[in-house]
Amino acid sequence: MEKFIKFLYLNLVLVLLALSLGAEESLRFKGDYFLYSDELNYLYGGGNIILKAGDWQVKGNVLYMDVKQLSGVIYGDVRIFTRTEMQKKTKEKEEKKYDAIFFKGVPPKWLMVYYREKIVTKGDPSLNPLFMSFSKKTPETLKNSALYFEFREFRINKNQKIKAKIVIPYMMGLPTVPLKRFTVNRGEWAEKTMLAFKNINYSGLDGLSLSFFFRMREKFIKGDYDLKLYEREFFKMDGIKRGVLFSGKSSILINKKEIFNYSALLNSGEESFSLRLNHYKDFNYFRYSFSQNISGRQHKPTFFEFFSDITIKKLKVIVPLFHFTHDLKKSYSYRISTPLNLWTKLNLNVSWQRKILKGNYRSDTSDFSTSLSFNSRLFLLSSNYNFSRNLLEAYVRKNFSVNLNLKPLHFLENNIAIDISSFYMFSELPYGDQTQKRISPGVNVTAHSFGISMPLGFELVPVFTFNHLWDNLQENFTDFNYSLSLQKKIGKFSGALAYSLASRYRAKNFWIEGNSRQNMNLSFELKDKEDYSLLLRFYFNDKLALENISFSGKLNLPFDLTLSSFLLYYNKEQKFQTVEVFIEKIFKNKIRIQGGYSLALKRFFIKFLTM
Amino acid sequence: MVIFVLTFPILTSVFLSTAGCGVKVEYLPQISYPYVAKMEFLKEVKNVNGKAKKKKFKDDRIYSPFYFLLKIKEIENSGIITIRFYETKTNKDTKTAKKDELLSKCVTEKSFQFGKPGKYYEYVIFFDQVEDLATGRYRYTVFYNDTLIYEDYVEIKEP
Repeated sequence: MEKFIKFLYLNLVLVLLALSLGAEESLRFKGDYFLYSDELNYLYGGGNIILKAGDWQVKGNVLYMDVKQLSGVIYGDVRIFTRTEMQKKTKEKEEKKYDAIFFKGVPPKWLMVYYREKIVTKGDPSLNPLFMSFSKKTPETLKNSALYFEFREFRINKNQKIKAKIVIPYMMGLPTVPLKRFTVNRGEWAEKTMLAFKNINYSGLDGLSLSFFFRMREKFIKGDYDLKLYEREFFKMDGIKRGVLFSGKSSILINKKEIFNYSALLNSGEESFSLRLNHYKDFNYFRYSFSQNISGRQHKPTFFEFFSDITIKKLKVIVPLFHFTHDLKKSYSYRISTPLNLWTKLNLNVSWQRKILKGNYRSDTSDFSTSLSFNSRLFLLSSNYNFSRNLLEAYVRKNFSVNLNLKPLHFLENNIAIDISSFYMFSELPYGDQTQKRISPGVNVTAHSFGISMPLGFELVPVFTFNHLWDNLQENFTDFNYSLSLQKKIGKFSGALAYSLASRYRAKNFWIEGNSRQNMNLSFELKDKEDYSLLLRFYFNDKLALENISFSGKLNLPFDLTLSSFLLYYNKEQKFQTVEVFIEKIFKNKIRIQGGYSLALKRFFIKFLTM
Repeated sequence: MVIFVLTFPILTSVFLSTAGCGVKVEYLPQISYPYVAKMEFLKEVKNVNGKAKKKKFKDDRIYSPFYFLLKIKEIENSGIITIRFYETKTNKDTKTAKKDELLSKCVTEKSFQFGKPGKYYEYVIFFDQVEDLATGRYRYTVFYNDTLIYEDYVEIKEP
């Protein structure tokens, strides 16, 4: 027996060895230098590039490769030949050189290019789109990634897995330890049944976690699952000590066709689970679907819910849908709805629903709803109506609304635009033994200009808004808002004076109560996109008295440093509320370091901020 | 937890360093082949005391005439940089072309002689004006001593 077990193990080892040594199709590159950005999934290579793919061999000088698309280009004095051609090569026959060779896929297709008086292409024409639009990322761009690798040799398979040799990983631009071999990109998971280790991670939520990926690709089942083992107690985290989290989605197949699918989530730490089974079928004249939800948590009752629907197709004017929901507590609802496709510009939807609850809370309601929208050249009209009857307590709820928005009206060569919209809302709800009706129509008008040119190069931008609402239960009110801005720009300098006034009037029985607020601000800006921006602003209060002054500035310094400042002066108390002056540097588009003085903190500071 | 967070990278580094034993310095990857670090299309470029003073186009639209500014890094010795602009048309643009045929011809070429023998330059900047390109899409190529090192597209818009 012992011998038999040893024999089995030996066979298993041999099978695994054969599989690992199997002739996997891949592209093999050698060269002086390769650079791979993990973030951009892009590769650059420079100096004595050799690409081997099956029987093919390509030699060149520069490589640009999009790993996700498995496509790229080799520049330089590029030569391409097969092993047989190389063996037959004679001294008389000179090697053919191209300026560029584009490639795509594993095994690759090739497109050779000469750039002389004309561009001449030769090879697979299906690569023409690649030749026309292949995007190049320079080493500078790749080195801006938080994580990148430099290496001398690599192999990439059709799942984008990159195994490299003599690798230097760089984190935040800093080199770490050189490695003889390293998988710099795991790539996509292979389309076969497999279990793979994903990562070790530490986070404030899960503590230390170990993640695995499990893929099933069998005749009757196809699915992807994630398995996570986490430990929290060891790191003195409150709550759940440790657990296993399993999640995934699978399809059950017969003759390669999906019969049903299910998604599952299990968390041993929280002692909870959720499972959803789905089945649907699409025929020429109708489609149907069934779905069953089961979920539960320790000390809580298991929840069951069943959904089903059937849609009748192929009818021109209506597409009826019947929807049914049921749970084990005998609560259920059924709904019939259909869009009415009468006219392309008119959308009308009608539905009726009966919902019956028979648990601790009993209810039986019948709802009828319609919605309508009409889009014309001049206006957009939308309306909703809902009628709900409680069949147990015999009361009725009604809601109705209609909105009419006119398309913007433009005047004076599109310089002035006016938007007008109106609405009407009606509701009838039970209120004790009686019903309460509420009617509230309203209107809204906005007029704004894109800028009116004035003498001496000034520009005036007025905006006016008017709202009025009638309400039969509360007060009617009217709002007016004006704002006026006078602007002038001379080169890099711009100045603006902005004034705004907001007034509200409420009708209270016989009286009309009104109030208004106004404010003004004056701003001056000096801005150069590349080098600096300075903004000085004066704020005036409701009585148009100076309230405060703010200043913000930004100045670009050498070595990519930026000097920033922000000041706020409160005029009434005649003192600075805030003064902040600091120098900033951004590293690798990831970390922002600020150092300076803050009056609010009353000290010098250094901040590390992630972007 | 703090101890773990602090020691984890150290332990990882130790593990990785053991895996890295035996890699000779001369075998380490090192960038030495010249590469295009930047190609910009600008309204104007001037050489002010050895520095390129650039004036950009408004709205990032490129009109003719324009300047190009090319920055090449890791370059040694003397050499010639040649930049060519090719007009490109496909069979969609013309009825005479066969299916998938690409019609293109070189419309402008600029060459620069640079450097001294045996000298290493961290980077070299080349710029010049291109005056005579009509509106359209052009493919440009960068040759270093007759060897192609880079190519891409540029779209010239209506002013």
